[in-house]
Amino acid sequence: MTYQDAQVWSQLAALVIFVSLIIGIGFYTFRPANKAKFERAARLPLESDNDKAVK
Amino acid sequence: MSASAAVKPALSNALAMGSAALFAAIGIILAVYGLDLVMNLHGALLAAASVVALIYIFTHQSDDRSGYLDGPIRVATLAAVFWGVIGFAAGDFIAWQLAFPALNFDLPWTSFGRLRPLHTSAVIFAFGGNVLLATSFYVVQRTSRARMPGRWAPWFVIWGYQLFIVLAATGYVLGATQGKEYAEPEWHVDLFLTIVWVTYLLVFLGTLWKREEPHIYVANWFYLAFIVTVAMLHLINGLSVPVSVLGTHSYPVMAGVQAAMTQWWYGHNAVGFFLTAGFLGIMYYFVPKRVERPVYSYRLSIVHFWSLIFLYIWAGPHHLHYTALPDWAQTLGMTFSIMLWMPSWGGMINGLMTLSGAWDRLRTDPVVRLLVVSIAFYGMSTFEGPLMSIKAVNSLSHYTDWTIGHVHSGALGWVGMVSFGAIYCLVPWLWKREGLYSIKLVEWHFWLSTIGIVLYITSMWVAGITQGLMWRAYDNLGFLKYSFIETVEALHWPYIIRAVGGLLFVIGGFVMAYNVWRTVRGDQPVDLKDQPRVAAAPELRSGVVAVPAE
Repeated sequence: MTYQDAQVWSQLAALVIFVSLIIGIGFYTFRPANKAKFERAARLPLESDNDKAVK
Repeated sequence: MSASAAVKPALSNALAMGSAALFAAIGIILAVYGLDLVMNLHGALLAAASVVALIYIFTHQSDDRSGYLDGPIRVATLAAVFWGVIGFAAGDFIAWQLAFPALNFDLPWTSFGRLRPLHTSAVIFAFGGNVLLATSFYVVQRTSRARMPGRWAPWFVIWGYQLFIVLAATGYVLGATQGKEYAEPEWHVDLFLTIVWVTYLLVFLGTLWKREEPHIYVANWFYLAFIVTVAMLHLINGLSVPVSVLGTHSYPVMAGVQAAMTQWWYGHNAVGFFLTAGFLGIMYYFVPKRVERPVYSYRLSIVHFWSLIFLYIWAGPHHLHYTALPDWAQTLGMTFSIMLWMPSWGGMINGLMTLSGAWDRLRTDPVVRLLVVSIAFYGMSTFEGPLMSIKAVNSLSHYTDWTIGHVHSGALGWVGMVSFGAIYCLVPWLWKREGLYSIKLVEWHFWLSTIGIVLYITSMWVAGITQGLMWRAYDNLGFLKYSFIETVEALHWPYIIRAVGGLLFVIGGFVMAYNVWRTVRGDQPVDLKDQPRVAAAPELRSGVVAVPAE
């Protein structure tokens, strides 16, 4: 395998990995099923700062 | 008490004492057999600290693991205030040195070259680092509803980090340095920091592992990205071979343009992950908490996180425009820097819009004002940065004081003010007080800092652009129009204005230290009626839970 081959294949692999990751993150973020979970998560700082809550 | 519950504290105490004894032994060897003064001193410091730790652990064998572990957070909060004041003062002193070189005193230890890394490390790693340690430990426990694991590990992280700061600072003043910007500590200090940092990562991950809350809150993502990336950057940029295991001097593994690229990959990601990702974790917890409103858009925060960490890691080459670095790498660095506009401004909008329905807090609560103005400075400096990374702009701005001004609008405006906001929140919460000693003093701190920063950045814009234009001015015969010293003379007044601005910022730091000290001491607040309900420790707040904004 020449340097050229290694470069082309590694760049292609990186392209596929990064693009699928970004698509995956976008899917996770905008999936309607996650809406309720994120609305709850947005309020997390407002809850649970009492010592009693901790195990 | 079950058998395992009795064995566990005994085991953690034994492990902690064993580790302290090991560190003490290494310290004694280096103190006695070290080949240079710095190694002897550092060995002695390590040994002394380890012996103190050993005695403390030996005399504190009881193990109560109920509730959140806040002791280490209190230490880190006070350490942040302490190092902050020292770091700001050191910075202002070297600012006066630039205006009046006689202040170098013709001594090696007080020269600008040695004090400047002392200033940068004190403010970034000692002040900023302690703010990050304190807030990350506070936030990860609360949002996970879990206590940090370990009896001694969190304490080792906090006190080990303070020892790292002392080792680094004494090394600089005595001339032991790797000469890499923001990565100056020599190999032995780097190794010690690695041990502390890996423990930090394990404590943080352990808290997430134990969490009662199923979702990992977005602030913890930012903190985790900061901890992991800083570990990676530190290990790779720090690769070096010591001349002797008993001496401080070492040679880097990489040389030439590879070393330069690695250094600025490190350097810019120190900005991106230490000074940005970590402090965004602060923003995503303390802004909603203080204004008692949920995060404006949690979806935006997820996109903000992933796009920010994807893009930042590539931006380093913009520090090496017009150098031996291949042109394609420079263009790559510039392109990714410009793309960073999007996550940066997305995050800024998310932070600011969290105030929806609570904008009146900006008028009534100076702590909110600190947090909000810090986000505004975040927006401003992350607009300016990509602009300066454009090669044509960089050809004017590079190596000038414009860069220094840019850094300080981010460091004083964003990092400084969001940290002050977080400290003012944390102190009454951690020491179980009804509020801060004085909210009026926070108001003073806010205005001193804001005016100081404005003087700083405007004078540095003038200085930088003047410098850049004078360096590139030619006469009609093609000769340089100005000698170098003429450009230095032109900077005298901007340097004085900058140092005055810095002085205001330093005074603000002292005002904060006084206010924190009075609050910690338990003095009755002088203006409790002017403080919001949320200023009090959670258990002292009257009334009901926050009313949701719909």
